[in-house]
Amino acid sequence: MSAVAVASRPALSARDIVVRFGGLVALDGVSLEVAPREILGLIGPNGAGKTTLLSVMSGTLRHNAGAVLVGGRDLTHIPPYEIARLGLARTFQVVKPFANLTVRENAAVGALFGRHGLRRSFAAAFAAADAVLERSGLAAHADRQASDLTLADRKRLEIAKALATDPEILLLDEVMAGLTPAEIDQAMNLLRSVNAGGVTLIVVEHVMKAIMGVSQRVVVLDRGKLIAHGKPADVVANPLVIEAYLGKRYRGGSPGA
Amino acid sequence: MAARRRVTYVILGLLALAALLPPHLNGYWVHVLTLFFMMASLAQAWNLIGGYTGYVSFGNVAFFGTGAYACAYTMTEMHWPFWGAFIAAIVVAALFATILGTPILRLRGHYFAIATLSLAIGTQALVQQLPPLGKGSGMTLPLNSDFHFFYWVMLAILGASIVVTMFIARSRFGYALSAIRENEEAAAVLGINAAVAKVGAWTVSAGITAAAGATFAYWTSFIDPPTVFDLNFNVLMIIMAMLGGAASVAGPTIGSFIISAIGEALGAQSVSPWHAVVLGGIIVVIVILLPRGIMPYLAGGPPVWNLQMVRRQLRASRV
Amino acid sequence: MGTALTLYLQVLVNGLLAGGIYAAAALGFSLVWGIMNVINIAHGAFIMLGAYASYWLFVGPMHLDPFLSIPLAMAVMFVLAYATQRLLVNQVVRAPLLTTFLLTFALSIFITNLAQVFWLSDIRSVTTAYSGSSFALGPITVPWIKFWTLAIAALLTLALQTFMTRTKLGRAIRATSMDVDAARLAGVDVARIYALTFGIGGALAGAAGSLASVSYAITPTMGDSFVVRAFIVAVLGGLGNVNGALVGGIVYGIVESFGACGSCFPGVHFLGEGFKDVIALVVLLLIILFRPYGLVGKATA
Repeated sequence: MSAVAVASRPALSARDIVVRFGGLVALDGVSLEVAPREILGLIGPNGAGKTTLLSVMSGTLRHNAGAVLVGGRDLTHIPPYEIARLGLARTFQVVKPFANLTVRENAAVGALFGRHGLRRSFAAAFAAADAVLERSGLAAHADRQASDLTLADRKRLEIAKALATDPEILLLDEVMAGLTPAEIDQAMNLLRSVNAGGVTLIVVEHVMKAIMGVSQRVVVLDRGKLIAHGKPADVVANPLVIEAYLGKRYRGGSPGA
Repeated sequence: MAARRRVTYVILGLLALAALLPPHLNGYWVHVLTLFFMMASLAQAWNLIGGYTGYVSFGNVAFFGTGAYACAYTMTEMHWPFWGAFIAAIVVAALFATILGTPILRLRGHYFAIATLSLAIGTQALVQQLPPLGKGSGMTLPLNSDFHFFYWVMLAILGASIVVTMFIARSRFGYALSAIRENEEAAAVLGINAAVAKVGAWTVSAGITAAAGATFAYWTSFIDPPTVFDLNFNVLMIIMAMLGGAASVAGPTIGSFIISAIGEALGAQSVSPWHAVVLGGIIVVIVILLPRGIMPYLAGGPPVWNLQMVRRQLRASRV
Repeated sequence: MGTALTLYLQVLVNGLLAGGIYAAAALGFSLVWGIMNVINIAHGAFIMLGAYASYWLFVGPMHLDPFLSIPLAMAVMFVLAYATQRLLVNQVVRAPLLTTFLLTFALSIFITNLAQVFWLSDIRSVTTAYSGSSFALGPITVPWIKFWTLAIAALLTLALQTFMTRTKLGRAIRATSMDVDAARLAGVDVARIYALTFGIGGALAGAAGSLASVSYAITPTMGDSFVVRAFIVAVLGGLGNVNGALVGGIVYGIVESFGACGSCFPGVHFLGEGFKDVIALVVLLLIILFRPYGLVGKATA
């Protein structure tokens, strides 16, 4: 599949990314581009390589071939902390809160070390943290220990920590999993408002409602390869995509529930 | 948090008062307190890498011995005055920690613990082979019978270690360490250079530990490998920090005080194995019932005798 | 044969044989670490108790040969270790590493010093009729005791491996080590499994102690050096890897043997008895840094 090109200079460009774990090929030459301030949905069946791709982008995982370019700069060999300071933040599918710190401190860590972190004073960082908590709906819990939060709040905190680094690009890994429909709506609003503030988003999700409602474009991975891309409605009707999720039997018919 | 800060200030105040004590104490108590200040300093230093950063080091005693031997060597072979030797000890240990820490701190959990354990044992074995350091027979330092001097030096080291911990805890560096302890991967993607932070913490820890080691050497006038590389020192450091509350500013000092007091009550002067038996038993009990140490109780939590909290902790950690 | 070659071969064989006791010491230690994720520092104390058990059985009315006392030492240590786990270690099994490390360290201090109270620090030894005898393999001398020690270590390894792979209990233990919750859902009594595992570890320590009683001086603190070597061998062989413990023990024995051989590498001043320990730990450090899963084990994802 040729690179998913965008009209103007892309915020992030992944070129022919290959990731191998021993004999298993997790990503087989995946290329995609994200336009600045775009919300790109990344979907695919389990095991397609979505999280692997995000990990490659954030520097947490080293790819075997290919390149990730942000602002024209190749991120290969750059350690995760430096990538974060360049303005690329991510959340983890299994959330990683700083359990014994307060919610405010959790966000403050992001503000102290993120994109402008080292130049910020303590006071400024904590103020930024408070602002982020406000936007994420966690202001009421600011002084509570992170380990005391409910799942939905911990997911919010995961986003808040990443937001506190003031990123240009934010990678979100299944932040909606386990949320109630009402919480999903709240999360979708948060993502839209973050995007409105100028942040480019790549959203990995299984919750179709969220992907359809929030993404401007969608890209589909299956078994390490990119199999479709385009507008959400088009992608969902694409027979290849249906086959990837539901098997050959449903290929000709209408999308499942 | 304010409660914890109060605890720190109270302790610093008590230490300041302690500086006035020596003229009123007999030799025995001066000795006992000097030892207490030393152990507390070691525990405070250990807390920086073990408590705050979460990397359980069994090798800090290597820095203690290094400091002791650096002091002994520079004073006897190079005829430096004590303060020169003191600084040399800190520098040598800091370099040691920085150079060896870079590869060793890439290890996690059990592997880090064992690597540091082998560091401690290996350093002792190495020193035991080097003729300039007296091989296994030890080294003798110039005699200094002014025991009040050593009391104040150790007290100063303890005070400094608490103040250093305080500044770190409230700084960006301190937040980086705590984040690394809680979740190193999450810390990295937020922009924390974990490798540098960890080595930094261990280097500071090593420096303080070596300062105590150098002072110990001059104080006791004779050092040999089994004494200054004794792993029991390291275990005590850990227990004291744990008991008082790891990842707190003054917790290690409190824990150190409690353990020292228990040791005194058991009759520290006799070297009977019963002493060790009881201490071992006490540590077993402490480790099971107080995994978070005493600090949560001192800083305004539920009272120590709150069985429910203890039971809940046990339920979480047993199978 | 040239004398140099004979020397090297003898050193090699010495190392191989010495590896037997190291492997025996490491078996139980590696098992407990691999299955329960507990580093049992008191393992050395357990070995010491096994050695004393064999000693008392030897000098007592039964005059039991130390090799024959192995099953008894194993039985006694199994019970002791099982009880220790159920009452104490189990309380902290899921607690962070630091806690279990400290607990077992404190236990080690407790047991070692209690032994010192009752049995004093007097050095004891077990000398049998065959203690000094050996057989010849060409120009190489093989002491009988060391030969049998290695043989029994290999036997224990085989027995443990068979137990872990072929018996229902062994499979339950392995399942628990892979996924505690899944094992529980499958009906495994995890608390009992852990106690059994720790008990087996203790039994193996007892066996190692019996083997040690004929070759080493018996004192309350004899376990300390064994624990260090058990660490090294366990890491070398891969945690929880039964065969790895045997291989690791032999490899380590050989490395140590050459390291202590001052005349093996003329011109190199750094070798000799004293540097044995330094070499051991440098080896350990290098292994941990570059192959933490051991020489025999496989890298886990």
